[in-house]
Amino acid sequence: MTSLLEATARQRLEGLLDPSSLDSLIPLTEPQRSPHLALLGLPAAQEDGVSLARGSLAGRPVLAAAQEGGFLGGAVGEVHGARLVGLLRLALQERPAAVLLVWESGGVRLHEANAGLIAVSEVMSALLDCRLAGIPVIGLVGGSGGCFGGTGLLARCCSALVMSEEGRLGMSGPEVIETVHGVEEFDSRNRPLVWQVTGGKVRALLGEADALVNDRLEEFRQATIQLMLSPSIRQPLSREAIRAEWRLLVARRALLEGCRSGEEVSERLGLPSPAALALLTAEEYQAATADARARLAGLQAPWEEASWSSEPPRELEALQAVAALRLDSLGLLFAHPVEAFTDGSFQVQAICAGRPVAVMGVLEGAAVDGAMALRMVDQMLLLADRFPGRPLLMLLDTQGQALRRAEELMGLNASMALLAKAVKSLRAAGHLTVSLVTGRAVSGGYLCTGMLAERAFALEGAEVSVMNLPAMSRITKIPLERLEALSRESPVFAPGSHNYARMGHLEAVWSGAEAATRLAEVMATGEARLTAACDLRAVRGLQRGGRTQTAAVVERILGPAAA
Amino acid sequence: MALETLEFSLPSADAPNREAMSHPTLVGVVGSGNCELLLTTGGPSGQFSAAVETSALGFAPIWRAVLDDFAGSHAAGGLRAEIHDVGATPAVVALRLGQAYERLSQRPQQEAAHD
Repeated sequence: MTSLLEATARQRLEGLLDPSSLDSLIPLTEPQRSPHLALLGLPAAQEDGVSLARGSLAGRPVLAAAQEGGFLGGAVGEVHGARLVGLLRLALQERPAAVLLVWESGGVRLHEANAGLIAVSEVMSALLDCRLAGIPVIGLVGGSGGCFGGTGLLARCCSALVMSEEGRLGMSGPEVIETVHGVEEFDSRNRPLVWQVTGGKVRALLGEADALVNDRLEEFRQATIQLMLSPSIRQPLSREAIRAEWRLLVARRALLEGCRSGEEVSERLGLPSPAALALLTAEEYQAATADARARLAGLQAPWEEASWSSEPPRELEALQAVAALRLDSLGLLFAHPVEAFTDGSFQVQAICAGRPVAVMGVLEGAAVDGAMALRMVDQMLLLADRFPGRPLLMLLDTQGQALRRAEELMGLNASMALLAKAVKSLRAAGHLTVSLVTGRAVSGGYLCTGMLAERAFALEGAEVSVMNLPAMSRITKIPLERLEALSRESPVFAPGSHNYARMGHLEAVWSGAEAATRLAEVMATGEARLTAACDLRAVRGLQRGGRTQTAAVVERILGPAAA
Repeated sequence: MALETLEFSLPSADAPNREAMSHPTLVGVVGSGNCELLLTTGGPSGQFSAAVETSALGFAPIWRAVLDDFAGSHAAGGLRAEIHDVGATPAVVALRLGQAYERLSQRPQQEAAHD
């Protein structure tokens, strides 16, 4: 098997690692299968769609995982996520030369909805712990399913990415964008367009992918070895690195404003059209775009040129009023006016229980686009610089990520992953991080913000969800009536903060009346109680009975040394 | 929506290197028109057993025919197959059985995970 595209997950691991070096961590006779699929009449897979391995790469010890795109689109369910968490936590213990992650996934496994979303968040947290510890995590993207959704975020949390032209990387799949905003926004059946926006070549051009290879396992292997051996990849994730990546993404967003396709990007960079570059091999393409890539990598631009939004602007005064009302109801003292932005985000320095707190958030169900994500990253970096140790409170009412072709082209998953890195970086620096869902919290918009807080809460009536049921029904082909029934019977499906509490993600759900008191109690602790590398959600989910597999699966992979 | 689980035990000549075939093999993918198959040793002598979990309901006689065919044409006594199926045709199932068997026979010293 020479092609990565055509290979199964297990074949990919065999083709990437040194010959005869692979051991599968858990014996293949020991099933780690989904407990949720039988309910939908679907058979479960022995490894829940992700193969794990310990092996060597160019003689150096590595840990590796490969998602099986052929099983439920490679999507992340409870056990699948737990297996990745186990692998990443094992890497923290063993400190291999690298962790290799072969991504092929649509993101959260809709068949497991809430459990899938929490699983992706736990993987994200564990992956970023590896980054903070200076353990290289190298992602490989080249499967036919691409790498989208929550896994699009995870891929951009990696230290480096190798892609083939056949691979695709993004936040929202074109079909989802088309469903919500119409065919003009993104014609998902226009294959050249889809690849011009999310494909390996444009990703390599923009610097999203560090290496572009032809679809051969051997080429993926060589590129991965080169990255593994590069000295900079061992650098622990630092605020300086986050700031540097921020500058890059700001400059890109400024330069490419108005671009919605590879054609326009090529024009702006003075390159031949994508059609002219289409037949080039990976090496030829990299040679042809070397100057443009170098220029992009060295570009600087002022923030103002990148702050354009994809969403219609909201009225500032109204936003300030909503924010002020919310802050008052939570017993926070602050100076008017709240600093609000027309995209629906805001920030303010406040006092809670007599202590200064930085408050950031999203109002009125606004969408998180690249500009909002980058602005929040900047605010978090400044918080760490100016007010070391000051707690951060995130107040969230968001519909999730912006569903726009231009945002996908800019690399929305990159900006949102950077936001996730910023939150974890604050935690690593000892800032107490608290999140409170005040209205809605959906998918990607919640994954890269509130879900990474040390302490996550929601108000009574707040809705935490992956996707609305009709859209889930369209994508999974499960009849809507069946999903509605499951939403009543199973906490895995029903959107709602109480399910997320029972599954261990939310610490508690607060009524409106008690919220101010509870928040003051939380803020009174004043400092981060847990190190960044400590995610108690799986244990909590087990104790509360809402999520029973994750803790056991993680422990099994960690083996006798399990913490 | 339901899953059908089936269990079969069929006579088969003992696999010749059963003691050396100590590592299980896993082939295939749980995807539409496909199946995943885990082949292990350690079952009773003279019998090939199989457990099938499938979302394609009502095909028990066909499963029996395919497995019987395999048990008759291979020395599979003492082996056990666990199959997770999403509507694979008899040809695909037979292919997976053959792949797993070949893999198990060829590489007794190493874990054989393939395809």
